[in-house]
Amino acid sequence: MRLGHIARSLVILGATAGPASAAGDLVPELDFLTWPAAKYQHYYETSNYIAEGWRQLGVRVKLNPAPFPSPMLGMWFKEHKFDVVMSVLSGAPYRMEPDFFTNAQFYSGNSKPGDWNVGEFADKEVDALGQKQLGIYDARERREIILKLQAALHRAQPEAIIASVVSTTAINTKAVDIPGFEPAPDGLRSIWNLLKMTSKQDMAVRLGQTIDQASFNPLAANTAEDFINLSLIYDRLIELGTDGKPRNRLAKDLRVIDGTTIEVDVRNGHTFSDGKPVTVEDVKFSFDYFKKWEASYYKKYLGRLASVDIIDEDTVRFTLTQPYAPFVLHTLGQVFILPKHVWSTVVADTGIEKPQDYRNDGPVGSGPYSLKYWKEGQEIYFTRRADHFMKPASDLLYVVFGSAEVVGAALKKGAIDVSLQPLVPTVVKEFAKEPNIKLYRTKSNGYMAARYNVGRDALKDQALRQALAYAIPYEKIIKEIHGGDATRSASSIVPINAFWHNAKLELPKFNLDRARAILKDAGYTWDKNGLLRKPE
Amino acid sequence: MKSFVARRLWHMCLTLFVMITLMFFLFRMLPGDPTATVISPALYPKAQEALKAQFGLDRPLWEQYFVYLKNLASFDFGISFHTRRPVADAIEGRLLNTVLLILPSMFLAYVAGALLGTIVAWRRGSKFETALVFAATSLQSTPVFWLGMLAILLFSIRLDLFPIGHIVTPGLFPDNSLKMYVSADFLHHLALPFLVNALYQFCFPFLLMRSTMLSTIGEDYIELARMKGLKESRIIFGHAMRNSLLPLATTMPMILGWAVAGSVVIETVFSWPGLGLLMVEAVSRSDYPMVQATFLLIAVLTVAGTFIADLLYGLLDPRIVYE
Repeated sequence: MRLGHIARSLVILGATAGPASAAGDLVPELDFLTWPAAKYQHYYETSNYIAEGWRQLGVRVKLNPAPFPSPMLGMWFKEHKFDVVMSVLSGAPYRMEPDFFTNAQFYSGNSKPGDWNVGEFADKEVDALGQKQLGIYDARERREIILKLQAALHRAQPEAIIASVVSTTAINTKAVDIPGFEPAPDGLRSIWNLLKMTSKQDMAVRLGQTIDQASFNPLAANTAEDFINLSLIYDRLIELGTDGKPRNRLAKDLRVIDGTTIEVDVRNGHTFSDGKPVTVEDVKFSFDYFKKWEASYYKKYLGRLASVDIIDEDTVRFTLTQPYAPFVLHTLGQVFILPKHVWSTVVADTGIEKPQDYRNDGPVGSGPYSLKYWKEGQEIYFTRRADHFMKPASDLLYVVFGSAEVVGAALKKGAIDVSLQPLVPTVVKEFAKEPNIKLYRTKSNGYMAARYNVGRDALKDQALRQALAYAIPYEKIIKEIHGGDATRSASSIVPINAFWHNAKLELPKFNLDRARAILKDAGYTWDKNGLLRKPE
Repeated sequence: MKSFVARRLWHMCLTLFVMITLMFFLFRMLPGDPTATVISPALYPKAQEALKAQFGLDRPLWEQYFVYLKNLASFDFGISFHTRRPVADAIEGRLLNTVLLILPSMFLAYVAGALLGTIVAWRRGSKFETALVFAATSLQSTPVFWLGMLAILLFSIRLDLFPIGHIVTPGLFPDNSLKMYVSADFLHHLALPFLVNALYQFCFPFLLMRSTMLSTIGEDYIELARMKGLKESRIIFGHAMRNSLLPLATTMPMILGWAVAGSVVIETVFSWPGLGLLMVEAVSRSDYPMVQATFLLIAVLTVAGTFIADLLYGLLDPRIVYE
């Protein structure tokens, strides 16, 4: 009896609340997928500050921290289970290719589960420009389109770009020197800087990190760290330079004949670590091999490769199915050149099903280093090849640590010479006073953003997304959470990628009045509780 | 006795089977797509499908389960998702490192715990007892990673007496050879994690011994021994301690599995390349075959330990009869 009474009065309350609010429905509470606070405090707090800013605008936000990597990665990349996700995309050399952070991420055709358009974003102008730049090999010409593409993304706001992380790593100057260090988005890990690392003690340069190699099989690898070390052992035709432009590696010259034909002259007189010469046969074999056995990481990059033909003993011709400008950096710059005399018989000789299962314990490559030994979970030792054209300075010894906290301490103590592990701000401050420690500030080409799921109802409206960009306390986030170790960008191609970055775009500032004005113009209203309501 | 052993063995198998099943499904019941971490979401969708098929993750769960059981029956623990190498190889390479760290420190902890527990019980009410009991209870409630970090900070960094971690100085030994394990360098690296683990493991046997001793001291036969005019030391060590050792001896095998599981923390802090560190890495990567195999190992150790403890009871205490 009494229960029924209460229920009825609730119904009445609900009924009277309805007409009091003037316009449309409440903007739904945003489901903000983020990182677990305990382990990824920086990322979690960033999302927390963003949510705080949006709440001031009358938008309800619910943070949903999920354990990383599982299930968070699945919710992020496969299920798209979020209205907003705290997207942290790490920088990597191949991501300097301007297609990656623009078209690949925001092209409507890339919205399938597991592909890069995790926010199921679709915009006609973005799609058109994105597809157009793919067919232009000339860098200057392509750049014009890439700049326009960034402007279109800036207008459509598929995500709110927060900042690029600056990480600090360090070396012990008593033990090691890096003459001619090049600022690269991957800092000390860049192959160009590894090559220059010179031991002052006539021994291997000892580099500390927490990650161990998963595999030295180039066909099986799929983590960034695996690829870095593989690129020490195996050469590629092209290597991405620290400035974002391709540099010749095993290639002597590269000519674009037409949109679908590229010819590469291969460096002659070079040998594999077992003394056998590197030939155009090996080059053709490698591309065919990666394609034939469907090496998972490379599948995407070899999809447009129709054939590889040997023209003469110096030259190889690549024929594509359609013009694809990123081919140079993404394919020629990533596929490793394997010795044909080793890999062509691996499957038959060892009785394995496919070369991915090959252990490749003593890898034979033509790269600047060869693997001396690998003690799993402990050490990896690379011996330099004095006869290599990239001129490696010293042997490299990677030391694997169980936890990141002790890597900095090990550097200070002299147990290692280089800390590849980014140092936390308090350690950076402490190290700045140490006479024998040199700090390297590395600006990543990756970035943090609040990525919107446009496939869901809440953030479909462009005006709302535009307004949200002005309700984020950027400076506070950078100063209070990241200790100043972050830089802002208005574009997903961040300033360190200078050639491609569009510097003319307006950098949104925290300005609630402006945000409210945009919403008012678009017909949004606020109810008496200050909550945002959609246009009617 | 024979039928008892047979029955217990049968129970052991049942327990292990339930554990295996639980572990298999529990890890897969975690929210989200369990393949998300195994297969990089950054991969091309078609490539992801190919990888799934390769690991058998595209087949229904029950089918995966039966394949797993079948392989297990022939001691095939599968291929690691992460390294694509046999799980058994990885465990084999790490097991010795853990055993060398855990067993000696456990042994020290139990010997010291038993002796000090006895003395403290005998000296009940003394300042020595108060101090030691206070220290042991605080130690026991201290997270071992914190203890380890503190030890590194003090002994490795401040005093520079020990290395910061690892099993040997990097660069000295190209493989895990016998030469490495018998080197002074290895012992130097072992010292700190060994002491920290021994200190941590010490609390349980110490407190257990003390409380058992306290009840033993009140027994009539101790009174009788005194009346016979036996020497105090004879009474303590010959009568009271011997009889109080029973619970300690029987908990020891059970603790073994727990100690191996506990190596997770100590190995992570000290970059000790053992089973514990392998487990941490495997769990964080959702490397199911590796996780299942390492957890199974701990389960087997614990179950086998309990079984041994049951048998020990009968051997040590003639009053216990198996029917």
